[in-house]
Amino acid sequence: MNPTKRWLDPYPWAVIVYLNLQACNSGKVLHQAKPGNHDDAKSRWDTARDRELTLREVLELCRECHRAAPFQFFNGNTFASVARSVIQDVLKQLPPTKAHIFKSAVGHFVAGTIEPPEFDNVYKSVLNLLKNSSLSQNASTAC
Amino acid sequence: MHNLGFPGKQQTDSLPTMDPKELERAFQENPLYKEMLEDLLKIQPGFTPEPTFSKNGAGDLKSLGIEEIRELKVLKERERGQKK
Repeated sequence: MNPTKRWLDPYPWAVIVYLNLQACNSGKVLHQAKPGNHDDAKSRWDTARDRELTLREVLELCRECHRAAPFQFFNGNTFASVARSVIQDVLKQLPPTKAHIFKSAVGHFVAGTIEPPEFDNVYKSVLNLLKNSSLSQNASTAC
Repeated sequence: MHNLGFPGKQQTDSLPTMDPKELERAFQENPLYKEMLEDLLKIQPGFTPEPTFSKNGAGDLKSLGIEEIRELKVLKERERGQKK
């Protein structure tokens, strides 16, 4: 069994840039990259995209890319929305309340408003739930 | 500053390898991208534009407040209904 997956395959860097453009247009601020920060984050993202990762590693990467601030504005919701999109398949296998809590926790984790130990409590409970569900056997092994 | 290659007054260069028009179409047609963009705009009011997390290591996402609690209550009610 393979415990990892190429979670970021559908999310090339150009998609991240486009999301940030939309966030900036909506927030009526300039859409610009931060030199240095942008190239570092892009290179980390591109490297990670080619690798098989655990879901936890992917979420950590989204948080780190937010922290690296590759764009002048709206880094937070750009990466939080990517992370919340990455977990869509997992959410479908959870009871609605748990799915809502997990989605919210992922957003807050990437946004930097909850710390890794707090997030890991939620993450572990989701993993346990997936492991206990016979229907979601495959998804839980990829987390 | 660094231009990012998308149409608009700030961009003149083209860093990303994807064609901007193709990308725009993908966001209109691909449900995954469409939902992601909708989610981005939905959560945007909770964020400040400035990169505070990179400056002080503390993020600034505000809760959606009552709306979030209301949504959770509806989900819980639905779950209870399904169990009965």
